[in-house]
Amino acid sequence: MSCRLDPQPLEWINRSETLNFQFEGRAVQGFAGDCITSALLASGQTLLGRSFKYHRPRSVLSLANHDVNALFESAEATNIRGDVVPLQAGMNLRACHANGSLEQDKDAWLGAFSRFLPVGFYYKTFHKPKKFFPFWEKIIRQKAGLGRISTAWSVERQAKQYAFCDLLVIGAGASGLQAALTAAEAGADVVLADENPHLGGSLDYQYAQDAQAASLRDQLKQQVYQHPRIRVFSEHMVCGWYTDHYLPLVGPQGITKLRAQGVIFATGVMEQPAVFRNNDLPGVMLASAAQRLITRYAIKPGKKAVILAGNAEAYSAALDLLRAGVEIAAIVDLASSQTRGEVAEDLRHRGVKILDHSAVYEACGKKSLQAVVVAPFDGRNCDSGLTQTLDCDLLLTSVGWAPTAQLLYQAKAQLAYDTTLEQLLPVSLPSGIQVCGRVNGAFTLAQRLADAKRAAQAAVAELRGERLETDALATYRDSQAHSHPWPIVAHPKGKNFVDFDEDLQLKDLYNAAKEGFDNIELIKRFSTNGMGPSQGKHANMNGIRILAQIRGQSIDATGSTTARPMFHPVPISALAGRRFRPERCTAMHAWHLEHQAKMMEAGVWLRPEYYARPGLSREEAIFQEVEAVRKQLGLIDVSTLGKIEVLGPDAARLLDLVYTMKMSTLKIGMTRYALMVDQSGVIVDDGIVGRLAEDQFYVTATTSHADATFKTLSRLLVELGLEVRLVNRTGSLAAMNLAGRAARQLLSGITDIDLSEAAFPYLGIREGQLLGHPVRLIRVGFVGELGYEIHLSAQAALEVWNALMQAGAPAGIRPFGVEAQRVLRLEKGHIIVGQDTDGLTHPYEANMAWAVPLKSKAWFTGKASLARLQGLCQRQLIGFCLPPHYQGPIPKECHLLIEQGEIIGRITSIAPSPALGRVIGLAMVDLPWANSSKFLQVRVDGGALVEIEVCSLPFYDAEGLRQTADLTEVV
Amino acid sequence: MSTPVHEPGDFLQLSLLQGWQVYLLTGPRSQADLIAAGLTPAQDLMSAVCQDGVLVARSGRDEYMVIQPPHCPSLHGHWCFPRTETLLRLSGPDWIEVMAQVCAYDFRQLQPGQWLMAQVGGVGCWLYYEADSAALLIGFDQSYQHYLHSTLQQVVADLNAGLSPAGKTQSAACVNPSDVLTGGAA
Repeated sequence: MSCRLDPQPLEWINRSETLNFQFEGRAVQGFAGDCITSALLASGQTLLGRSFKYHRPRSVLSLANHDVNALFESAEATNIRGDVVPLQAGMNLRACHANGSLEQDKDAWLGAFSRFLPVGFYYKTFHKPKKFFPFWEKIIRQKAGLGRISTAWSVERQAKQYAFCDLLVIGAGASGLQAALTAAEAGADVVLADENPHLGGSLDYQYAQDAQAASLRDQLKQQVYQHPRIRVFSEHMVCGWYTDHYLPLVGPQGITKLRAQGVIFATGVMEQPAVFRNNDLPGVMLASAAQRLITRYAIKPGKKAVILAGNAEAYSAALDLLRAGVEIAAIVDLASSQTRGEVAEDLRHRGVKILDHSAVYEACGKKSLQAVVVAPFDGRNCDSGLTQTLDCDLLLTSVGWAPTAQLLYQAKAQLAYDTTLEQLLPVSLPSGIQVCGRVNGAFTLAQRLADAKRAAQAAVAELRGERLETDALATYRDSQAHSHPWPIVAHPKGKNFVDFDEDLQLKDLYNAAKEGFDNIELIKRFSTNGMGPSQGKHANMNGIRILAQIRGQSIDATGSTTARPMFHPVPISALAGRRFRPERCTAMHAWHLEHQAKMMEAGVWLRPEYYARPGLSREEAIFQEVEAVRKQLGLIDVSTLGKIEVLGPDAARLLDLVYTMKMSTLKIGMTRYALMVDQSGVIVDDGIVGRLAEDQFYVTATTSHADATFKTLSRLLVELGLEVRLVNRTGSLAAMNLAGRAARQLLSGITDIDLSEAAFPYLGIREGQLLGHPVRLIRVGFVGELGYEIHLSAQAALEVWNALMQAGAPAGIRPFGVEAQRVLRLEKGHIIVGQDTDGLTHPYEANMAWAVPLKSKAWFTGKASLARLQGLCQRQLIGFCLPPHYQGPIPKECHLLIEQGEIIGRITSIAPSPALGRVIGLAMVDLPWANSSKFLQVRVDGGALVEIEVCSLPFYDAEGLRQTADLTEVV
Repeated sequence: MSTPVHEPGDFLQLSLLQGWQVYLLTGPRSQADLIAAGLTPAQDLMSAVCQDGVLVARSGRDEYMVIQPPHCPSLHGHWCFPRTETLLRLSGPDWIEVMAQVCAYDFRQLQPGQWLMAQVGGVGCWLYYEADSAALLIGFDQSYQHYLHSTLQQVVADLNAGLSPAGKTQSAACVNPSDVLTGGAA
């Protein structure tokens, strides 16, 4: 069928560079600049694919990425679109959808059973009897889908970048080139994007032999490339339009996220196929595909051709075929050739046979086109009684176009069907959007250039905020139709395909409508028209025409489905981009790693989960850390806590509003537990508030809520107009908690702060020096031992940490991690917000009524809700334990509590307690079981029920004596 | 403020600045504290002045950041808080290409001597375009140092190796922004 032509004036191939590759195990050659399809065609391989459902033989249709007939896979990639992917040396390719080889596809027999596989067959078959479905499912999964994925592939990421411009021009054909130039000359900063590797578009392949167009082409391209205000992004597909003209440009190296002030759509049109029996045979292709083959790749598309004409472009294509040495058997015109212009006359004078008011009734051949059957056509139907057969190996169809308007729809442009041009055309454009060229119905070269200038001038004027009297949108539209309103021929034997991706035939759409799916959205989803990899580019327009005919309504009334990004599929590697996953490390991070800390993520922070010890399991190591704190001394890095300075005359008022407890009565030098709820009364954060001066407070927040707490404080002070300054010192300050009965003894040697109980009582906060560094000490009780939280500059933290570890060695100091801290606070019955509370937990459910001063505090966030919730409690957080020396399966967090087969609660925290010698935990349980039960049941992994004993809280040191127990006093 | 760190045509460079001190001053006495320290407060919001190597930026109504090189005397004030920051200097003729991969701001708009606060690689940063060196100073919380420094190093390395999202020949950030159409300063 195909062979290389002599060098063409605008060819993309570089004949001095030969590329070797493999196809189905066979060595093949192509040239640099070839796409995979053109290289295969040049080698004589005309069969390029097998269709999705029926495994019908397929070849070139559009050569414009508007179909996926030529889909390949290699060891490294799948679903490679041969029509547009450049050939590379060393490629080793197979067809995606052939079982075996393309020629000997073992699944080709499916085509013989096509009558049993009509549209929607999978909704109705294989599910009765139900027991056989697993058998069918295996087969369906094997047969369905396109391409194979290998989990052995290495992860690829392509970095993205941001870019900005005044105007983005999409499409670098005649209109796009002119629009970009006009805008740039007016001073705009222009980006010109085109998905092809070379500029020119149809100005190249449709006007390749046109002498007049040649000088214009050269001039436009040169001016565009040389213009300092135009950036050219060739080989970049604009994959979607997002709010405020945010458009991703997808190129071979990755995505450029472009923000434009305005967009000019010069996106052109997509040629549409005719529908007739066997219109998918290899050898049947769109006229523009043949022109691309000739112009770009110097491929002779066939030996003897028939052209199905629905517009003047068909005749230009016929002329191109003649120049390429292809014999023309006939031109079959759906209407009258008298209306097709000078080129038609030229061809008639050359003796080319032209059949007016005729259509192709059927294409004939097994694996490739051998002949076409032609019949008289009245614009709607063929007279199958008056057919004639024409031998040929190539059939070009040129019956019409659909606007490449997907991104226009996304930008909220409105289009309506124009019966003069028989094409959907823009009628209303939103701000910042212009259109020009064939997408706007301007078809001749003169029209396209004039329309481009109009659009660019309008776009520039809009950017300047000027009122420019521009020509109306329709000023340069053609007055002749370039599309036939009904290029569709019925056939009693079917196989007239509307959607090539889905093997969707004309009768399938009629049957879908008969079944009640006669709305454009329903018929799409039931029939899958437009749902294949081509995303409807070659199928949607005909689908709309057919449904309009079925419904007896206009194209506009029939409507269209929603065009959504992406315009073409985008590789995951491009979407992934560079990995931006912020990570924060404390000042002691390196020390933790050196001491075998197993790190865990706490929000964006890395924290030690525990410190590994030789010969100890994770649980044993954690157990030892807990024991060290209880019996000796422990040190934990709590630098991740939120730390906020709240300053100013209204500081106290702000904190009163944000937290449930009253902070304005806090004495200087003391702290108070700070519970934050939202407007609905749900617990969102906790921490402490310390008062350093009349107008200076120091607030701590949980690691995961620090930023949100800062935002809440910031928002409220602005909303209420409070005289407050906030300083977020979360990163600037480090913090560590020294806990254990030797804590005071150890600290007193290295600080100038008076640590005596009288001078520095429990919950106090003091400022001073520690090892020569400014420090704040807070007496805290989270883990239930005598403890001091040390807050100091992150720059000094490691020095102090090392000093404490050294000085505490005689006392048996151990670093302890997050897991040990969880156990320690659990023994004290302290909650962790987000673990023991969920998105609905309010203070009454968490046994924190003491933190809600409804009567004594005039107002705080959430007060109104809590006043109602007080009497509406439906569940309660309870403590529980397992028997000592329990040997059975241990329940886990989130295991459910079950009573008579019903869920009555869940475990929120559970851990073995060194202090108590048994497993303890917290559970959120429905009332009345929370109040009245002594024993409850938990369902563990495997379904067994384990009995737990309800206990009072706290489990450990109920009187809080350990908070003040001090080794110095003992000594 | 600093000496140029590259020759024209050099590759991109990312340097970690050591020993610099950063302070945040806030409150009604902040301006007075600055003046008492011999520093000139920036006048406009989100602007900065550079004086004898010390950068003073106005980050709020009465909030200032002071960035001073090593060996400067410590700053004190009523509400003056030292910050623990990492400072990076990004230099080279195409540093804007680095920023195009990590920050959504149009750096063609940034003029020498201008100050900016933006997210870089997901981290809140302040940025200052040095007038004398034509380099970009980037400051952020030190806890992000490992992540952001290594991320920017990777971007710089990729660009120096000719790897760009738009290919070798296309610079997304080239062409000065138009002031004809938008009325902004070119």
